[in-house]
Amino acid sequence: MVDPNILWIVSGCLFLGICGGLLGCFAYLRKQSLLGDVLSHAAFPGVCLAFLVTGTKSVGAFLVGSLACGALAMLAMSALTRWTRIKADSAMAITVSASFAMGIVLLTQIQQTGNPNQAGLDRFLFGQASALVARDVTMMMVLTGVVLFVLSLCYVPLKAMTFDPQWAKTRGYRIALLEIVLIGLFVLTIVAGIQAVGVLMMAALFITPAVMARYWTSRFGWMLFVGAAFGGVGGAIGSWLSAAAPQLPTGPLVVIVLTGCFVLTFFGAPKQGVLALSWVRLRQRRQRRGHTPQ
Amino acid sequence: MTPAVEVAQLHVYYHQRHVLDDVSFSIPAGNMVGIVGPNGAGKSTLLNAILGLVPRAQGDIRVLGEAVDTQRHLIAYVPQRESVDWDFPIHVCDVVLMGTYGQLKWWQRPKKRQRDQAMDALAQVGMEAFAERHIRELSGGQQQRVFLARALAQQAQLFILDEPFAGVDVATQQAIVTQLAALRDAGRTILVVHHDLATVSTYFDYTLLLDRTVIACGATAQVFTPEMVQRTYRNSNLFLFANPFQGTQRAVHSNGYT
Repeated sequence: MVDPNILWIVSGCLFLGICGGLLGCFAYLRKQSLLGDVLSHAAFPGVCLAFLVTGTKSVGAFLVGSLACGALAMLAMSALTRWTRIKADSAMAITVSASFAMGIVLLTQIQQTGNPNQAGLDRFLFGQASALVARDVTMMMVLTGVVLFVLSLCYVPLKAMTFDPQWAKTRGYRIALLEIVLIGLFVLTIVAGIQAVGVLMMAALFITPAVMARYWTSRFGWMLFVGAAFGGVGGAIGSWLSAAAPQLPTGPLVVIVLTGCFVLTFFGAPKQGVLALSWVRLRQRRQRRGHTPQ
Repeated sequence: MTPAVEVAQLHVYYHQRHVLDDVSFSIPAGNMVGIVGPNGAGKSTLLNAILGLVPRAQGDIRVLGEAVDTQRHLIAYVPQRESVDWDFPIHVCDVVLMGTYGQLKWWQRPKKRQRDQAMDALAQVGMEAFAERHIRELSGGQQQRVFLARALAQQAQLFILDEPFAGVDVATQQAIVTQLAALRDAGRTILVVHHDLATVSTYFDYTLLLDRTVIACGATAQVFTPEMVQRTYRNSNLFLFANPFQGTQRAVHSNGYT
């Protein structure tokens, strides 16, 4: 029989992957593939600051810290791109590395304080699902549940905004508000996944499922479904592997599973996969050879 | 009768540039209006101001007698073709369905009623056979008709189209014009940014000549005269190859833009 504890942890990571896949589709289609990267790196110093202030590992404080640092990172990025000649990719690179550096400095600082609560804080980098206790998993479930609920409520406005933000604005949708909602959902998912998958690996949980999903379908609703499925599979298998071999960190295993799926998709997807495309090309060449020019 | 669109003393700045300078005009309902002017005349900016996409520094816009901000649901917008992401995973029927989103509360999903309306709109532009196609698989003219269908599904009173005829063949232009004329005959008002001076008289019964401010606005027969067109294009090195009021020749800017 499977250890019920492991089953519980795996299902937590399953929901985490589903949220990641869903949100990733929005970011990918809005051409903000690195949004997850920026926010998860910003969450790292946010979580450390929250720990320094409260001295405990409380999810509420983590959430506040991550939201504050995420908002700061987004503001810094938009200020850089708006008021200087720095382009968005450079602004992201600066923000990501600055956040990570601050996070590392703060984490080292915390580890030297000798606070007994800090044990395990270093797992926030790469994640360790097997170390999750029931309370952590419950928290994951609650956070991902909120994300899924809000996403299902705002599905129609988010779809309109993602397809054509200008037009959506003329239809009376409040784009700025929807963008804030989306960023908030990203931060909720990151905080949910920070112990299980770790800040460094969260970004792949957002974007890889979305990129794969686009290979499999040409419809928005189906793309969300496939993205969620891939994210869930990656989260579940990755965390199950790492629970079976506890010396391996979870985050990298999740990412490796997702990357494996990506390779399969890249070659095997119908219509857009490499194999399907070369099959079409081969057939066209045969047809052309069959035809004699008039 | 209340005018469909009424703009008074409108000023709009864009990147610190005074793009629209004291624009005032009034358009009676049930007209098909061509907005004509040189590059940089502020044609798209005027549309965006009406649509609420750019802030207005000063001035007043009324649609069917009420402040424009309370009338957004009555305005349908067909964007320029270049502004659409043609790789987006969406099929024709889903694009048109978006036109009905205005009937829904933000947490609601479209139901059968909305789906039927979308298919009706698609049938009106003769594209129902393409409902299940991806938008990438269509020709330029078909894409334009799909976005017109989305506007139709919105059941608006005022239609705003930004260069719908750019890069579209003559047959499709005719199909779109026929569709728009039917809307006009049903009492709707249509604003179109238009570049081809040769077709202004045939397509539009009302013309707005714009060069950062209104040069003239009125029935095409009265307003679209050689003198007025000269005045509209006086700052833009326009060469009139031949008289655009007779043949199918186009006005060509010095930069080769037709």
